[in-house]
Amino acid sequence: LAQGAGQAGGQAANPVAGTVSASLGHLNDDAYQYGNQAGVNEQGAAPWLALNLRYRPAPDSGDTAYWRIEGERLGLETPRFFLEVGQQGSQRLRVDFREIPRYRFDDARTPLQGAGTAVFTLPQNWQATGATTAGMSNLQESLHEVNLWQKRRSLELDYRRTLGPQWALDVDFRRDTVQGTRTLAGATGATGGNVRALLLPGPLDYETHSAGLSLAYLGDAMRWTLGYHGSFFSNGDRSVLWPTPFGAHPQWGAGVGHPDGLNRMALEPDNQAHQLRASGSYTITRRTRLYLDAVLGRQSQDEQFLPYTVNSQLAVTAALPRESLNARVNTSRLDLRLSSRPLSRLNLSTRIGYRDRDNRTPIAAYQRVRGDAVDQQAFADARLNRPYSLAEARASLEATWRFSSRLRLEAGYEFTDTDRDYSEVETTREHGVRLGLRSTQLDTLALALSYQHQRRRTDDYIGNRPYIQTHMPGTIDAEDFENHPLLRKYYLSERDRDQLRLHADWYPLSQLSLGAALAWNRDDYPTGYFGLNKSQVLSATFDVSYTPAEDFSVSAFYSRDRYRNDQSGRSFRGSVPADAFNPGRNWQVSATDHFETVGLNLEREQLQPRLGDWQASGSVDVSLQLAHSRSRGEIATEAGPALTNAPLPDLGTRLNTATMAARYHLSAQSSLRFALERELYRSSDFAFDNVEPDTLANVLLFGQDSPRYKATWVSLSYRYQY
Amino acid sequence: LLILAGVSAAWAQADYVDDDPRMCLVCHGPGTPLAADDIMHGAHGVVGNADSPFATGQLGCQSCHGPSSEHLGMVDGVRPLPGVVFDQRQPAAERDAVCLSCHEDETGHYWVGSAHEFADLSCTGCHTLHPLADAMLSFQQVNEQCTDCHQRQRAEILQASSHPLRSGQMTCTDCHAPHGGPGPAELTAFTLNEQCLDCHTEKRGPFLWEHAPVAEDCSSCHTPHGSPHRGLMAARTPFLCQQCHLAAFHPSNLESGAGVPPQGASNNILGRDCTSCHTQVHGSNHPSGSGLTR
Repeated sequence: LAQGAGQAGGQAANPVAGTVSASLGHLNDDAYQYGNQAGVNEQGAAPWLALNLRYRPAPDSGDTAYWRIEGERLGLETPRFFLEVGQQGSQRLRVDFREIPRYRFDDARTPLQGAGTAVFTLPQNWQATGATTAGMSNLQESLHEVNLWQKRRSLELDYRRTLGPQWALDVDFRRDTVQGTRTLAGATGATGGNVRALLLPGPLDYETHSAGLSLAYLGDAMRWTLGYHGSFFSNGDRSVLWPTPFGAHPQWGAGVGHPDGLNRMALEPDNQAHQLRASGSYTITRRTRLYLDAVLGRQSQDEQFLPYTVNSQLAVTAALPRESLNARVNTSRLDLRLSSRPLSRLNLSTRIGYRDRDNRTPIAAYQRVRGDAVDQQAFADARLNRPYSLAEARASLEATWRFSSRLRLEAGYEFTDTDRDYSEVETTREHGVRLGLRSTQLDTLALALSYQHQRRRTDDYIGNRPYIQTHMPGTIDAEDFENHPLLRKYYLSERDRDQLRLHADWYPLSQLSLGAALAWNRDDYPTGYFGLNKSQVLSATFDVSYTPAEDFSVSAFYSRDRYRNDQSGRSFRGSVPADAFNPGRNWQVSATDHFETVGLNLEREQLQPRLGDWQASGSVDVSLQLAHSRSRGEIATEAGPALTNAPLPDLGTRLNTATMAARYHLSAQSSLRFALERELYRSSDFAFDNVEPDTLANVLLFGQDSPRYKATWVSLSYRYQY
Repeated sequence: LLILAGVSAAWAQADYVDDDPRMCLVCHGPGTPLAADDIMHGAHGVVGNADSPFATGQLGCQSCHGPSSEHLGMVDGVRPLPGVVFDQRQPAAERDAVCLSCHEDETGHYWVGSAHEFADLSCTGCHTLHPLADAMLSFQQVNEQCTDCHQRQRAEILQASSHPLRSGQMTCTDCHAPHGGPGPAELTAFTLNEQCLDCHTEKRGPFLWEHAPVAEDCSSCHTPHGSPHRGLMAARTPFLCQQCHLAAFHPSNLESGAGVPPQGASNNILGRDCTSCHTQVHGSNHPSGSGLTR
């Protein structure tokens, strides 16, 4: 047979197949955020390479070695390269490298010097005569532009070797780095309206190494895998240090304002995570199989603490309770799944599971220096850290009943019990039922319909429990509160959730298909409370695909989504106790996000261009891709008579992309491709538009505008096909 | 050695074509209208691998297509199908049994009971075997393949804030296991947070001052595929924050147009609103950072 394969179809084939392309593109104008997708955002020309090659041994060689390479945008800012090499049936190595930039803003402005570093300074002639931005007399002349961006580089190696007919070993390694300049916010002060802040172009210098090792036994009746996975994060910067740009505030300590005041923020500490994993399955009978997953893990970090404050002028009498946190979270997970087909028409899947996040981090009292601005707190005012733990138990049963090969009913039930500590609610229990129907009764129509209802109930919601537990014992009365007593946090609150899904595919002709999908979700929370009261999602998608010939296809889709959240609250001042009980200070917000997306894709191959009597010797493939996406955010506010209210402007984003391409085949192996891409992006956001660095009195902003760009990208590629 | 041994007891009795693949290639060889010979030049044609369908002792095309001698003739003017055809005419479970007889190790532990298996999506619903290249193995094409069905996600990744899926720098399979995974939504990690923290390791902590929903569930605030709000936030801040924070003074303020120029200028709604001060919203390790400002 092998000989037959070689003789019949294999001898003429080149063991190396695929394509290599060399391209040159030109961008008509600077378009900063366009680079996120395209890998180029500066006006001018840029070359790049692309590869897609694979090697298979000749069928009659008896060899099993193979390799596969895929590379895209090699030479641009968004390259990705993948290599797989191995011997089929015995071992393989995969290498995956990619660079992922994120260009956020190129028009941010700041007076700070040292963008992207851990230490900032103000210009030597910086003037700040008051505790607001109005007192920064030479702000405008000190502002300069900074780019906010990041680039992730990821290299992953994955080696798998078959150790015998039933054994396999897998080893993987990955290194990720993230570098760039990001937005941080530096606040000074913390109480009674004395906070001042400025946005910082902070550093990004992350590095993560992760590695895994697993051994698998792949028997006929029993299979299992044992493995270890470790991940190690390190941050190149331990903290950020910046000078206070505001003049002294009367409530701040001496020497906190400009020119002497300094501030320091801790950046993300180095950390580690380890996991031991075991999974297995066992065939109990021909139609029943048991699956098991068990994971034990630990997350830890023990970076040395920064001092309470960097301002030596402030009084600090009590030492830190610990040199470092010695934080440790033990995680565990156990899942059992029984899959069975007791009757030819019935499929059953039962799961029970348990997961646990057991935070063993020690608790201590921290006598803070708030916002590097006031003397250290007294012991009675210290804060206790809260090491959150959580345990979750789950059980579910899914069943499918086949009335026929074309019609089946699905039903399911699930139960989740979650226990938390240091939380307003200690236990939540959620029951869910699901019913679905799938039908292909008609040859040309496939239908799927499902409905799901979930009901979450909780034990008593004690809103001030975290408040009490973070303060020194005896310092907070049982009636005191931080959040309003009528607040119910949505992720801890009782909730009724309903979901409806409908999906239909219609194939009126063999070349034509039409699809529609509708989804409706609604979450209801208890009435009479503040917080999220109701959320609703409505989504509709329609698509059409037409393929009149093998070398001609058209497809299009339209999608419309609406997300709506209704929430409420009461505005109250701690200095006016009656506020908390005054319904005239109630407010409601209804935020609705509308999305609309349209896409079109057309491909026509093997065209034979001709003009009069002239006919091209090669054929042409043409394609057209259009995408339009827009969102509109409406935020409607209502307020009681004691509050001031005014309508908010709408938010908006709009993306239009059009790509036209033509490939001319010079020969069977080589071709030229010309592509023109035009992309327009616009957004409007009241938080940025017409907001200058000093628009706010107490926060010095970057003053950048909402992103918008227009980009025209023209490229010419030569491709050789092996 | 027979790949299909055990797939169907009936097949053992059935009639195989002797001269496979030569006989098959008479109609399905190079240049024929129903050419299928490319499969011999792809992964399935590596005959040095004893498990290959075309290796010595295997059954060639019938290794997957089953006993097909009837397919050589005509019955009432119609050519009977091969033993197994990989389209809607054959139940998905029967088609998949053929693939799984060799590839169960690779599909892994979670296929049975997975979303795709439960929805009767067969292997060949995503994978193409006869052409030399399978789109599911190409990082440039896999997203297109997934969003062909997951159309809501196709629309979401065009939103202003999204993971870099449009360009193929990230693929759906970076987070989701199409053959089934241990986590919710067939994630490759055991929990949603583990999945997110696999890349966003800096947010793993544990921090001295944790933000409770961060430690529990990233999706309390973020949505994974696309959002019009920065940072893939599920809703607009400060309103998202105010769904859980309603303390005296600024956390409970009504933020409205009265705080937007030209009517006013509120610290809590312009710029980065809450995170203009509370920048360490994922957790702080500063001993004075309990308010997540340090």
